[in-house]
Amino acid sequence: MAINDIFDIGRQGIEANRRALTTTSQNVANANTPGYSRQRAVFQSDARSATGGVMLGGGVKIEKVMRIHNDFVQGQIMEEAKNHGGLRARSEGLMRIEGQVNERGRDLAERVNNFFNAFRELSTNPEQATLKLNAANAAEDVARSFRSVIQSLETLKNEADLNLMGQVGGVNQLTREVATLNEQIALNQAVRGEPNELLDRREEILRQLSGKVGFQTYYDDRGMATIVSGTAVLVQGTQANELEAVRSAARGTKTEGSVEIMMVDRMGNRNIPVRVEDGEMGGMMHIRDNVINPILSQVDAAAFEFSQQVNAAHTVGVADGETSVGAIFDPIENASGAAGRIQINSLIKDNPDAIVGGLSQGPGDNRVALSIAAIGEKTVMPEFFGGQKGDTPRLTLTESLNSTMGFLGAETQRERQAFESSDRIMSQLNNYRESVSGVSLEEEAINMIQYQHAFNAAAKATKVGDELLQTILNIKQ
Amino acid sequence: MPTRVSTNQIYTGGLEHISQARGHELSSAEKAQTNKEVNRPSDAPATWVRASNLKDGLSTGDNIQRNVVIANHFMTAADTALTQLQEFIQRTQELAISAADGNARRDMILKDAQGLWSSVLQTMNSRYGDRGLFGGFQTKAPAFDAEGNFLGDNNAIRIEIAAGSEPVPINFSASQIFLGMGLKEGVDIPMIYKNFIQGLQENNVELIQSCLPQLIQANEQISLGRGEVAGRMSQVSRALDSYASERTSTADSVSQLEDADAYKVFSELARDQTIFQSALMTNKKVLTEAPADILFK
Repeated sequence: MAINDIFDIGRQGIEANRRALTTTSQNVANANTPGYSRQRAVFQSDARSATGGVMLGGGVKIEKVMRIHNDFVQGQIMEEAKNHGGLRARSEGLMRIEGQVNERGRDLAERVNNFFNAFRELSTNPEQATLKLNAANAAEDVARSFRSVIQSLETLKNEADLNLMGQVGGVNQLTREVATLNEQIALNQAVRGEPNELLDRREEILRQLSGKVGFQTYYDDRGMATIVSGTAVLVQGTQANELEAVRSAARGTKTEGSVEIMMVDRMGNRNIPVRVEDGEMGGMMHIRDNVINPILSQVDAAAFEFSQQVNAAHTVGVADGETSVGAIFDPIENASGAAGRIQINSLIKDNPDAIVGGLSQGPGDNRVALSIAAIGEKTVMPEFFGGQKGDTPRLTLTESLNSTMGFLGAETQRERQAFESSDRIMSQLNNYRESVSGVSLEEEAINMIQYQHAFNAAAKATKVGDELLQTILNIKQ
Repeated sequence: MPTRVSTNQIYTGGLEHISQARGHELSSAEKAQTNKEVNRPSDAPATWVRASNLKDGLSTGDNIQRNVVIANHFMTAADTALTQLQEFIQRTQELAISAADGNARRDMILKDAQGLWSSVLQTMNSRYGDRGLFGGFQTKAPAFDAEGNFLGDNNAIRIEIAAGSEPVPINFSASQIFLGMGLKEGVDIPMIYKNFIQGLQENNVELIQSCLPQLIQANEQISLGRGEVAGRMSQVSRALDSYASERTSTADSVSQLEDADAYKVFSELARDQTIFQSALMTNKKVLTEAPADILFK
């Protein structure tokens, strides 16, 4: 072994510890980078020569920079992320709906109740014009309140659709990034070994994507990820298939004009519907189709039943000296969209005195007013639970409206609790991931000191080698 | 808690605890501000629906109660009118007894009798506010014309005295009380007065004498009517009493369902504020005295 070996080994020591310090610096710099997995330089001693029958060390090298990572935990995070994203969208969406609709819904039930009370009051003195004006105002209030509830629900539904359209853009961006990263990872793995940063980046994008739309991931032997959502292949190798939000025709619980998600294939065809059940997009679609639409249809049914019953009772009445002006509310042909269309008969709006109290010309006849008031106590609506309607009428109109708001409350409570539970699970998983892969600045500070000392020592060894060489060179002088 | 702790865990954990404590504090503050345990359906869906239904029931009940009070006044007015009518009939009886005497001054009695008939007619046309009491559905016009002909109908104005129950009549059939129609021994009061006045005008003692038993019968007929009024007033009064106690218990139920226990709420608020302060203080200590800072110095 020559003295030069001391220089080689010293240089390797300096180089290896410099690289280790670089790795530490990289860790420190990325301490706050989402999805970053800490790295560790793996030192390996080199035994390369035998001198005088003795194996001497050949120095040190960094065998690899290892990414400290737990695939199992990461898999669990990906799995939970789609639940978490979906539940967050459901919970936040429902809380927003509840905030906007609750007051209006309760107000609607109260106004329907006030309407019947106005007719009950009219029944005590059907001759009084003030009470007829009061009843006409109550009718106007109910119609306005029905329309207001529907308007706010329709607005929320449109917002959900607009949000879905926005999310599609985000998903397409992410799938394109995954495809690009697939290519880079495959290339790097073949040429330079583990591309830690690229793998971290792809995992982070997949986690974000998982929060938006649920999917399954499969990896090929080149490390490329294939992403399949339902029956749609979003990413295969270096190819990303784009999603598109299109307005659909009425089908099942979807009303006409609802946004559906379709996949655009390589040929540009948009005929592959994507069944989105998880992630934020799935959550929004769930709220729209399984919460807003059933509530809309229940409020419509209540408005239809209300106007039908009231009109039927009023139409048979006889006004003072003449026949009835007919319906209090403009006739509605069917329940679909009834709450948005209900409005007071313009003849009554212009002349509240046209409201009829009785079945005869007797000014004290209050039988119509009584029968309208009695509608408020009649069970005319089926029960409404879990978005499904029963067959038999068991609820009064106000009970039905209250129970509809109760359904919204129960859904909100359920989703909020589910989200809180998922949030705790997600937090634990992230915590566990952090404890394995997260950067600890204390640890890195110690590592830094350790590598710095080793770097200094290697430099010292080189210096000693230099002194030895100088001594030998000085022998001649 | 895992043995290895990353720097992010310290910050994330701190943020989570602060945010959680803040959330609890806000929730308690909302209950304290509104004094309600249930502020929205999702707080307790079944409770919210029950409380809302009960509140709607209270609103309906209050409305009915106001109507029942009006009905009570209406019937009280009818009772007052019938009481007056009985007094007029009794006075007429006295006149009839005097007039039945062969030596009576019928010309003098006639004026009294005509005055009484006028009062009787006025009473039979009694009104409560702007509504006739005895004209059935014909509440605007007088029930009887000046000749004592009935102008109304036999319909009963009914009102609800309890939610969902069969409405009860609040007015009385004039044809039954005043004209005696449908009764076993009913008498036509205007006709009695017509005959009595005619008897006095014509000095027809027999006609006057024939009015006497009819006046007694008329008095009993009015008593019968008053009995009916009393019965209905009693029914209305029972409904009012029953609603008063029902209202108290319903309002109590609503309060129990949605109102917050002030002591509990303020204790929880104080506790949540302390937890929030502790979370802040603890994190201040943990985050500002990070060991890494010492190592990097």
